[in-house]
Amino acid sequence: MGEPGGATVSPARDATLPPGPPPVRQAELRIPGRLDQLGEASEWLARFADTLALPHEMRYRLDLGLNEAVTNVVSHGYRDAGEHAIRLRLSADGDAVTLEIEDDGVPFDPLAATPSARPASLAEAPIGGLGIQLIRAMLDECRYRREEGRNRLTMVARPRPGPGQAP
Amino acid sequence: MQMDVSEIDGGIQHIRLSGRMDVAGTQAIDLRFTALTASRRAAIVVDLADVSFLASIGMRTLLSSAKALAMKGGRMVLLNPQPMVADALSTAGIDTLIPVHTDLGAACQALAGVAAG
Repeated sequence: MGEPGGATVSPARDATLPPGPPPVRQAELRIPGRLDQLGEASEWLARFADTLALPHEMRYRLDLGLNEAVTNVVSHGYRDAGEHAIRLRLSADGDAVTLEIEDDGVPFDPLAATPSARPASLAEAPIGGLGIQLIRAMLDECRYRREEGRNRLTMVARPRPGPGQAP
Repeated sequence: MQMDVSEIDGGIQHIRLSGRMDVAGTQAIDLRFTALTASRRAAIVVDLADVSFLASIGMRTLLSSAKALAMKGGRMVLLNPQPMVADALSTAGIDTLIPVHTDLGAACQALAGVAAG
């Protein structure tokens, strides 16, 4: 993958060395910036989660982050009818999994939006704005950077005790 | 995503959704769901037991139908979401706007008095 330190497996670890931390595992996918690509992106995430045997609650939250972030980019990020691409990167480090989404849309920091107040009734409830709220709440760490004309949203999921699991 | 509709006691509509309620899944059922729920005064149980994933676009469909129903004097309740779906519903505050039940009997009771028009 051409990145320093990006080697994914080192099966021939020198037996005389003390065992190091388990290797960082990575995956990358480029998709056209269209909503009909979300299914493939979710399947790619599921395959990565399978190889790591990720707990269901973690894969669910990463899948939600992926779906909401890509939906936002495609729905609001493009000001022209040209072709766009979105780069998705997954990496596992210890029991944390990081999902990075890089797009060439207009500058937009989803984390800068002020969370809206909870509506008291159905009549007052706005239809929309839920995606970013879900990203913030369901992922354990979110960062945004604008770099070289691209938006980069980084989301980290760590295991959470959930229903049916020991706290 | 699949959608099955049946009528249960007291004219209550039981809508059973199954599959992933992501962008593609929601688009697949949105028209039928909205037509069923938003066109008249109705009492509706939306059964989420077989919904494995719910994105914000699916929540929007639920929310806008529930709003339209309420304006016509109807009502919607949600039934049996899977744990992560329930978690997302509560994170988004949907559960305070559309009641969530874990038992069909209780869901029907919550709809008592909403006669289907």
